[in-house]
Amino acid sequence: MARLTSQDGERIDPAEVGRWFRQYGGPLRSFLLGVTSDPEAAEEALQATFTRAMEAGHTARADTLKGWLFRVAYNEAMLAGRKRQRRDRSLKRLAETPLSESATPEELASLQESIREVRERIDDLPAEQQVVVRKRIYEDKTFKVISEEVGAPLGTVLTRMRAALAKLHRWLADKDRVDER
Amino acid sequence: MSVENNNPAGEAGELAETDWLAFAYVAGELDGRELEEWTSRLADGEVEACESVAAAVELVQSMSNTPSVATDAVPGHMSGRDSRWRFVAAAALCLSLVVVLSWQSSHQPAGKLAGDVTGVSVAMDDDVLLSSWTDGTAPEDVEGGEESAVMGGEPLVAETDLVVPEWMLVAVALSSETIEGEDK
Repeated sequence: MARLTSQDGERIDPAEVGRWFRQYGGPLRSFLLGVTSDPEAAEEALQATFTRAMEAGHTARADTLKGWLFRVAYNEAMLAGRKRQRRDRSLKRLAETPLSESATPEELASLQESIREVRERIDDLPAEQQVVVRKRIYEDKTFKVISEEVGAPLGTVLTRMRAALAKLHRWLADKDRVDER
Repeated sequence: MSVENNNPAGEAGELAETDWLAFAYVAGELDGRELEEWTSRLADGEVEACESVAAAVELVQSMSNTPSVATDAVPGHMSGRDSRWRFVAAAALCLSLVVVLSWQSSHQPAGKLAGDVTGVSVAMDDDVLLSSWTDGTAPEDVEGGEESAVMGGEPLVAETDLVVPEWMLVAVALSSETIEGEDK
């Protein structure tokens, strides 16, 4: 882990960094998982991001803090990626990565509920969209291969996937709004 | 490959271009100029792009992940046929275990019974064991009968020996999942 090199006077209050972690740690972890496709590298980069925040967080502006953290996280992910053998991107592997290792029992229960509901939503999709989603997410086939398998043009397969994602995104957004109330 | 399609906002609903690119990036479907442009947005810390990547990851995980340890052994999605095959395989495994135990019991000398786990099977009549398994009768039902007579009323099986192995729980969970799936 990198050392804190800033002068004491310039260093940010650790409690403030703790608040950032609580607020942005989850999205940053998911973001890093998306960038690295490697849970260990993502965790390493997350740690390094907040170490960096301790060192240089005082230079961040409140109105652009989130972007600052994402930028630092991306750079740390690139560094972590150079240290490790970069894995091929695999949605299947991502799907099998635990959503959160530090979740409370209540959070786990809520996650399980979300997972069950998302699966039900997938079942509600039109059959042709379900096929594309299942082949892409669960069987990890590329859109090109799926297009050959279902005998549809690539553009049609992409449109089906995009339509399915739109529905799931919309549903998740609605759900978040309800949960926040 | 290019993930651009000609009709993104029409048939495809209203998925924002950023969300679509984020999904394609996470799925490894971006390359060349598209990938370069996208990663430069991430490197710049563009909040919308970065949040879209996080959302794409969370969506993919929600599609098939299960946070509990027990279900890690179960693939995120299984077709009904897969579930049935797994159930049949688990049942076959249980049955062969019973057969092996029964066979061992019938080929071991009586003196080896005491203090040996397999001695339980030997002490019980093979038919009783098999029928208790197939009838679903609990071991306690058998304990009070022939077993007690053979072993002088002493409990034959330590409580820890009756702990159901994890693989059997998984098999039962799979079978109930199959039944639930078929009920729908």
